[in-house]
Amino acid sequence: MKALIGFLKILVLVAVTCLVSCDEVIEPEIKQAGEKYVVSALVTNEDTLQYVRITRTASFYSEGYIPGVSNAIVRVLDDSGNTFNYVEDSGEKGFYYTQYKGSVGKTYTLHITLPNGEVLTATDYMYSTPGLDSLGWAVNEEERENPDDEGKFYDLTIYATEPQETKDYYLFKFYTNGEIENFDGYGIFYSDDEYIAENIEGLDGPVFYSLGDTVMMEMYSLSREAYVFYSDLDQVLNGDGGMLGASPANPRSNIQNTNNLGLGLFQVSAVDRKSVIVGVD
Amino acid sequence: MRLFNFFLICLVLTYFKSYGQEKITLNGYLKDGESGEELIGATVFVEELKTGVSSNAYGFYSITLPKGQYTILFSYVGYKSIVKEVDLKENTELNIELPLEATIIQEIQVVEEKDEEDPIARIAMSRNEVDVEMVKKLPALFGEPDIIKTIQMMPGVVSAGEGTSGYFVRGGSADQNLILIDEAPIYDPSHFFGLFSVFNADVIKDSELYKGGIPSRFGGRLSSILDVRTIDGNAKRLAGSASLGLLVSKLTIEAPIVKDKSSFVVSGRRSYADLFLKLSNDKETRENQVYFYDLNAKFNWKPNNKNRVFLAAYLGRDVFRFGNDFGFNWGNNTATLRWNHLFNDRLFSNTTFVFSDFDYQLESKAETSGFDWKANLEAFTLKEDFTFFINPKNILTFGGEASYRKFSPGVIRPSTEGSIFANLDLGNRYALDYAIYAGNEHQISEKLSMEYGLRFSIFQNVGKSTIYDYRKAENGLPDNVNITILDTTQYDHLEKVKTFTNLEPRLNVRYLINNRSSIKASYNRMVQYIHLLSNSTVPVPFNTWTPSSPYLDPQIADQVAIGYFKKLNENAYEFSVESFYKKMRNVTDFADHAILLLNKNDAVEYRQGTSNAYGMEFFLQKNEGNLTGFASYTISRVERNIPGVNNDRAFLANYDRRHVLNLVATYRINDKWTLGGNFTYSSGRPFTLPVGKYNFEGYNVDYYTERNGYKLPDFHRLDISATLTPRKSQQKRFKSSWSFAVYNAYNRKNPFTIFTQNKEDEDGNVIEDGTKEFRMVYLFPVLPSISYNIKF
Repeated sequence: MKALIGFLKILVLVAVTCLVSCDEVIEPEIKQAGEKYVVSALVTNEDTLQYVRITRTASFYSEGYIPGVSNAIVRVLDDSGNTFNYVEDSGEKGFYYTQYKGSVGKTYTLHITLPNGEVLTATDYMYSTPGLDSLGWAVNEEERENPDDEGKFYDLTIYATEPQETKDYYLFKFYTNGEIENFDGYGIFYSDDEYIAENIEGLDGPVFYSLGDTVMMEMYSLSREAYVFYSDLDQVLNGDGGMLGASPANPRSNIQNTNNLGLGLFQVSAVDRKSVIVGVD
Repeated sequence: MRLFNFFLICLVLTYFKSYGQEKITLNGYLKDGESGEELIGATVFVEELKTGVSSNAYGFYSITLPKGQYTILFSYVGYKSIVKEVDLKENTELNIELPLEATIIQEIQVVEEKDEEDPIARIAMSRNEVDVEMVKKLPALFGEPDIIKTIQMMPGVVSAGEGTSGYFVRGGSADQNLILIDEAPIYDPSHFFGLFSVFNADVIKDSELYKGGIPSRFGGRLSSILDVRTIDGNAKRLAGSASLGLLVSKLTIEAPIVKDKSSFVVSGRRSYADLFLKLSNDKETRENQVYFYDLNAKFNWKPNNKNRVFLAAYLGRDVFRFGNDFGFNWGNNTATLRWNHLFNDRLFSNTTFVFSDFDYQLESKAETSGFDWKANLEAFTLKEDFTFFINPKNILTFGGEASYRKFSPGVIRPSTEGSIFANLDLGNRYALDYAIYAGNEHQISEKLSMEYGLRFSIFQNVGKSTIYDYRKAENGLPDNVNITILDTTQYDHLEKVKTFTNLEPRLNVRYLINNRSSIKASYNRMVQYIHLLSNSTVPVPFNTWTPSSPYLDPQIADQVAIGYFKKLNENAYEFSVESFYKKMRNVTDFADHAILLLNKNDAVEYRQGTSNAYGMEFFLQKNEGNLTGFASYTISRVERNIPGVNNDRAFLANYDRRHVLNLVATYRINDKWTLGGNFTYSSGRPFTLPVGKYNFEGYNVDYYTERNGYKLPDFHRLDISATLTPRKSQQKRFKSSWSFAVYNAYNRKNPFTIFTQNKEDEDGNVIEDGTKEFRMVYLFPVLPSISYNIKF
């Protein structure tokens, strides 16, 4: 569904704006606003360094990276009574890590105490993922005739089975030769299964590849809250400001704070990944 | 109920008063002498009694007078008046054909006496007529005249920006306007996403916008009625017109079938921008299709003066196709069958059957993701309207209507063998809709007249449908994150789901200060039972409508307005100032981030609240002389307060514009040349901009604190045009003209929208350090256009 609507929104914009339109940089005066705390945290079912990142909002016109929030007390609790204490990275401020393996079917609670005493909490549940069946590659004939980038005209083809009896939400990430694709900072690939048939056979990926590229795709299970967050995030990143689409607003977040100072997402996911080398069967 | 009683008493009194002496009725039709088109709002004035009536929407008039001899003046703007001496002994039928003024230079006869359609004397306020002949002389985008663009310049009307067909009347949203073409509703009036409207200026006879004091015969929308009527077709001879433009061309043919008995008109319009795409070197571009067309057809038959039958149809569609893989289209189809019947000299009846359909389709033939997506809304309406000419002091209109509507928000089918899409049917929604109404135009004294009326509306949401009881979140509104269905109720075909009833009182009062000035006041309650599912500022054709239901209450508006109307400078100018206050309840809005398309749980996204609008409108119009046109200035404010939106705080509506100034003029230099110009200024509309930003997993995300906390830059634009009508020989009927226009003459970059993006360097590469920038989108630069028009 999201794919359809996204497609539609882009078309509407293209149809309207490509007739005769231009855009230019402007610098409206922006109001001052109080700072909020931004959490991005992921717990997976892999035995790995799980992370929590804490940053803050910055003024719109500020330049450069936004520094992280240091010296917070960060821990995650599961519903079996285990507590995982996170330790701040000595190099990158605002990143907190600890190694453990999450389990499907468990509820996890994030608990952060900031140096100024503010407490941020969040809860998420780990759903299972059906996983990807396999990946393949194929020549895209249209792109081969007229490639945007020399030699890049191979599609990733995705094979998967969508369980029809459960309600599932997914997030997908794509890596090329080990580098994550972030689509200039605008593309997010997530989906519900509302209108998806059971067999996905040879669905094209979002990127064109060259011969010999190593392509990896990750599939994360999402809770409904996390799905809603990504859907909202997509609207904020790709909206038109509210003319032909909705007025923008902050993504609905599962980060709780008594003063309503939390933004971001605490995501608990089962993950599956597959790789393929383009040109190798 | 008190109001209803008052209404009844007035009616009864009226009836008894007319009972006493012997009365004779004079009636008939007023027509254009050249084409046989009926004249709407033409005046019939009885010199001896200093009283008169005007012809109704079908050119029919009826006046009941005591026996006697009278001098009757028939007049209409732009036509020569005709005076008839009548000896009324028995009921008399008198059909009049008014000849056109030979030339505009000829002195226009100024009728000093009261004239019902005169804006000072008529009871109604808050109405604007759009003179389509003037619209044709005004500069237009790509040279295609568009009445909607002129409506957007009327006092009390606001536009969200250029290139849109949406308009906002007195603080109402774009879906609160009822748009009628020959009484059939148009659910989306846009072509090319709003660059053009569905109205082909060549077939429009008359169009009027009702903004307040709306008569009881209209209902169903909160803010305005746009009543557009098309021409009937020349009843005397073959005639036609054609126009060749840069983007759009059109052809109209009209002719009698049996002279003065039956006639038809057919008009077609098509854009052909896509033909230029065929010139492209790129194969893919050549295969793209982008066009729209309209077809208007009308047949009318007048077997005798007691019966008239009209059949009118409109078909219009936009088609977009990108290569072989993807395409979409949308369109309106309407049909109107009308039967006008005179039961007796004083009772005029109009029976109408209306069909209206709006639909859109999207299709993709991509191998692994092919789909067909269809959505539509269809409505059938049967209406009966009566006009009873009780006496010269009272005209009673009454009637009723019944409608059946089917809303189909979406059906998706996979269209290719290996498509990842499953079958999806969102299910249809059905509604039955009834109304009865009565209204009386009542001349109480020489100076005081009233038009009072009442409408009783009933709306039923009926099956077949499934209604869910959704769990509410802590704030008492449906939880749209964790959607939980507590209970499910099934309804059979036509089984009642929920019924709504409302009484809608309407009132207009006019007090004549003297022949040149009057004051007026009005009140109306309007109820809107259908809701547009759109959270954008400007509706797009892929929005769907939904009925009032257990999820959505009917929207209700109460509006009061007062106004002062004056003629200046030997009646060359009409001036008015009106002030309004409008309170709207249950206005439909949507939760932040609402997904309204293809969402079977869209009900959890509905939010309803209140909206208050008030403002003042100044209007100066000049109808005579070489310079004609109008100036309008509106100061207004509209705020919304919707629980669940903007953290429950009030916010300015997307279409709130504090100041709006419009100047529209045509200047006739000589027989050959006419100049036209539009100037529009409006203060920037509210807009949501971020106050900050943050980084989430490599995405640079805007941070918001409130909705509509900023204003877009002001909007202003000047368009100019010139129409050249080469001198024609006297014998020939053939007329031709050239229209030249420049849109946005001083090349103003007017804001369409503002979006944010990661800052880019001069080569367009993203600077990946989290720095962001605002970009303003603006649409049309200076755009010249030319079109060639013929008429025969």
